[in-house]
Amino acid sequence: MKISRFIKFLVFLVAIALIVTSGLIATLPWWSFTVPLFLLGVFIDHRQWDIKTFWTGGLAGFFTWGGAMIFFEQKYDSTILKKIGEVMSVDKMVLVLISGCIGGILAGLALYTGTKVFGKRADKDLEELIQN
Amino acid sequence: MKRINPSFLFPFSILVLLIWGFSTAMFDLPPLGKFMNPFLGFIQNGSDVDIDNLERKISDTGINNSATIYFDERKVPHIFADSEDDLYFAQGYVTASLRLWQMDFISYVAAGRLSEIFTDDAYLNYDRSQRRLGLLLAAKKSLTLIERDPITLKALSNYTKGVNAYIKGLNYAELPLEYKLLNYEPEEWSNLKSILLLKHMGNNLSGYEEDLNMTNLMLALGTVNFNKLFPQSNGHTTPVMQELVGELNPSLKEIIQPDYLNYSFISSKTTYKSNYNPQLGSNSWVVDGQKTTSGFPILCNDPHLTLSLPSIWLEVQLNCPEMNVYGVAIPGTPSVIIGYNENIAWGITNGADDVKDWYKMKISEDYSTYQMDGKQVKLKRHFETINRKGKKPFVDTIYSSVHGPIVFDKSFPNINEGLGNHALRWELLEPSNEFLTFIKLNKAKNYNDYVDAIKHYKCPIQNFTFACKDNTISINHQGNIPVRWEGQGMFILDGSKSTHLYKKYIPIDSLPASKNPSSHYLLSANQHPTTDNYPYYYYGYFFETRANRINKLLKNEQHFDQRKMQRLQTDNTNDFASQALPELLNHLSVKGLNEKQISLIKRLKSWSFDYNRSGQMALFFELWWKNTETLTWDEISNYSFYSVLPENYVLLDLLKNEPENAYFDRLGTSKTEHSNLIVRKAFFKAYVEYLQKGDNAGVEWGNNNKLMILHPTSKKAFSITDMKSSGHPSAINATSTSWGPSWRMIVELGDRPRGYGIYAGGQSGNAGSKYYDNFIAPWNKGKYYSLNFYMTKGEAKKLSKSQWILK
Repeated sequence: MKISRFIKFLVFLVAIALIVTSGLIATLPWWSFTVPLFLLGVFIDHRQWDIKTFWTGGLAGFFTWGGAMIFFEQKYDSTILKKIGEVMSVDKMVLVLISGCIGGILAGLALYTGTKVFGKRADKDLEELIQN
Repeated sequence: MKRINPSFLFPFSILVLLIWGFSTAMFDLPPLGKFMNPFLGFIQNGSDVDIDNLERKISDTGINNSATIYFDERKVPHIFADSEDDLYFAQGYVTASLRLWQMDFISYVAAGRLSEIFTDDAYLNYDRSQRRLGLLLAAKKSLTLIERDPITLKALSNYTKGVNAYIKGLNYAELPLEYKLLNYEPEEWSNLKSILLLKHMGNNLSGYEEDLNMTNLMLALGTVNFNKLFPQSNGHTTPVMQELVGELNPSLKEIIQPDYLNYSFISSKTTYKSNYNPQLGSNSWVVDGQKTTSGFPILCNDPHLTLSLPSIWLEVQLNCPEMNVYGVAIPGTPSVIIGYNENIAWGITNGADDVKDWYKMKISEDYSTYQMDGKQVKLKRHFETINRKGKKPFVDTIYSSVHGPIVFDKSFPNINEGLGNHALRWELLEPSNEFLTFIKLNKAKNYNDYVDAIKHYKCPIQNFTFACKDNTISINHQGNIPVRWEGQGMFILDGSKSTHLYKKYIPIDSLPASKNPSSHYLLSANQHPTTDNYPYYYYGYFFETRANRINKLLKNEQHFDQRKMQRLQTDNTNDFASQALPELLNHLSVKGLNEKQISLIKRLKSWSFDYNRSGQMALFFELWWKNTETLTWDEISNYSFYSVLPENYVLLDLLKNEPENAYFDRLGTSKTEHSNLIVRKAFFKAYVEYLQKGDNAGVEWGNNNKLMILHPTSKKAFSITDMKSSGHPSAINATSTSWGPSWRMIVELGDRPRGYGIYAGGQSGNAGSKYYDNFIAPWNKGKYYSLNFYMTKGEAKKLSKSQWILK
C-alpha cells in the first residue's frame, strides 16, 4: 500500500523514539531496542505499508546512536570521546560513526526482519542492497 | 491465521549473529555493542551528574541510621554521621563512588591476581613473583590478627559494607570506564582487600634493598675501602632525633667485614637492579608557637610517592561525635592517613630503614629440608592458586623456612639467579594492624593519645611528626626495627645459623624520638634517624640533602606563617649543589677554555642552585656532576655486579680532601689522573652534552624534568605527560618526572585549625570527569588550596555546594 511521506517520516520518528526509550532504561541489555523495532516491523508488514524498512530503521539507528554520542558529549562537557579515541587510535568522529553504524545496522535489520515474519509485503530493499 | 514465512529466519539469524558478535570482546577491544551504545557505553562516563547533583538522596543502602556527605567546590566529601559505624560506611560508599576501579585494581596488583584481568602470560609471571614475595599471605595473616581487635574490625567491616552498597547499586552505564574497557566487573569488596592496599603501600616504601650488592662490594673492597665508599654515616647529616647524648656506637660509624662473609660462603658475581625506587621518601617538619607569628604550631608534610592518575590520595573530612578530622585517605581503606583535627596535626615520612633481608639457604635437592645449626629442618610448603582469564588456573608451590619464603627456586629462577634458594625475611610479611594507628590518630586530642596511637605501627618504619595546639611538638621514628648485631642485615645472611635470626625488636620507648626540643622545631626527610650515639645498630637507605636544607631554613628564620611555609615546601634549591659546585669550580682552571665555556662558567658562578623549570644552569651542573661521578667511579662500574655508586657526599669529600686519591685514576690509561683532570674532563663532556641538549630538548630544567603521571594501564589518554616541572630529588620540592610530593599539606593549629594543601590529581578517579586531574596544573605551579575544615554540621550545610544523604 502506497503511503504518504508523512507516515514514512512518522515511522522514522517512532523508530527513533523506540531506540531512545529502550536506551534510557538502564537495566535493559544494550541490544534491547531491537525488540520493539522488530515488532514495529511486524506492524508495518501487517498494514502493508510500502516503506524501505532497512533504510528507515538503519537511518533511525544511525542518527540516534551517533547523535546521542554527540549529544552526551555536549551535555556532559566532557573529553571522554577524545580520550577513548586516543585509546583506540582513531579520531573521535570515527567513534561517532562506528557507534552510528552499529546502531544503524542493528536497527535496520531488526525493523526489516520484523516485516519478514509474515512477509505480506513485497519489500526488497535489503535484497537489492545485497545484490548491488 | 497468518502463516509465518520461514524466509524471515535468514535476516533474523544475521541479526542474532550481529548482536552476539557485538557482545563479544575481540582483538583486544571491549564488546563494541555495549561499549559504543551511547546510552550505556563509555560516553556515559563523561557524566558528572551525580557528583554535581545539588541534593541527592540515596536510599536502601543498608546503613544503620544515616549519613550526610557535603561536597565543597573541589568535590571534597565532608562526611557527617551520628556514629562511627555510619561514618566509615559512608566513607566506603563515597570513596567507591569516586575511586572504585583504582582501589579494586590495586588490590589485584598487591595480591598478584592480574592474570584474572589480563590474558598476556607476562602477568602470570608478575602474579607468581607477587605471591612468592608473600603480600597476599601477609594480608591474610594480618586479617586474622585484626579480627581479634574489635575497634579495627568494626571500622573495616563498616567501610567494606559501604563499598559493597555502592557496587550493588551499579549498572553498566555507571560502571567505571576501565571495567568497560578491560571488559570485567567489580568483585565484592572485603576487609582483606583493604589490608592489601596498606600492604601495597608498605611494599612501595620498604621494598628496596641492596643486600647482594653490598655483599659483593664488601667482598671486593674489604673493610677499609668499603667504609670509605659506602660509609654508615657520611658526616653531612641532620638526624631526625636531636639532642641525643650517650656513648658513641662504633658500628654506626664503621662496619667491619663479618667473619662469615667470605668467598667460601658466597661467590655470586651477579647482581640485580631493584624495581623499587629508594628515593621515595618525604619531607615533614613542625615548628612550635615560639617560631610562628600566631603563637600556635605549624606542621608541614609532603610525602614523595610515585605520582599516578588517579592519585594515591583522596581528600576527605570525617565527622562524628568521636572525631572531626580532615586530610587525605588511601582509597580502599578507612580513616584519614595524613591530616589534622581540632586539636592535633600529624605528618608521615618514610623511615627508610632496611627491613628486608635475604638468607642464603642450604636446601636439599628435593626441597624437603634445609640445614639449621647442623640439623635438617623440614621445609614448609604451600600452594597458591592463580586464576587466569580464559585459561586453567596455575598452581604454584612456594617453600618457606623459619626466615620466610624462598622467593626464587628451581621452578621460578628466571628473574634473579643471585638470590635463588634464598629465604626472604621481610618485616612487611609479619601480621600487623596499622589501621589502628590511624583510627586512633584521627580521634587523638593530645600527645598521650598520639603516642598511644603510633605504638601500633609496625611496618614500614615511618617518621611521625606531631603538633598539638597546646604547643607540644614531637617526632617519632616508629615501627618494628629488629635488634641486630653489627652489620646484620646489611649483607646476605647465613640461613643455616640460628645466630643469624632476629630475636627481638628495639623496645618502643627506645626508638629514636624527640619531643619539644630547645630549637622549637623538628624535621624528617628520610635522613639518618640518629647520630652515632644511638645504642642500637641499624641500617637503611637514608638521604641527607633535603634534611640539611630544611634545617638551615628552619633554624635561621623566625615568625613563620603559612605563606613562608609554602615557599619552604616548594623550594627548588639543591643544597648539595651549593656545596659541590664551588668545589668543581675550584678544580677547573679557565686556561685553555674557549670564550663560550668561560661565559658559561660565569653564569654558573651566579647560579643560586635552584631547579626552576625555566632555569638553564641546573642542567649543566647535573651533567658536570654526573660525568665527574662516572669518570671517578669507573672501578666500581667495572664490576660485573655493579649496580650502585657511592653517594654524592662521598665523592665531594674526596674532591675536597684527597685530590690524589687512587679512585680518580682512570682504569686503562697509562698516566695517573687526579681530581683536577677528572673534573676538567667531566666539564668538557658535560659541555658537549649541554650543547646537544640545547639543539634538541632545550637546556631549561623544565624540559629535562617533564612530569609523567601515569594511569595504571599506562594509557596515555588517561595520563599526564610532557608537563614541564621544577624540582629535583635533592631539593625540598622533590618533583622528579614520575614521582614527587604527592600531597603538600600545611596546618596551623589554633582555635580553629587552618589547613592548606594540594595533591597531584583530582577527586574523581573517572578519566571522563572534569575532576579527574584538575589539581595537577596548580599543583605543578606550587599553588595551594585553603582546605575547608567544617567545625559543625551547620557550617558544612551552609558553606558546601551540594550534598548526598545516605539512608
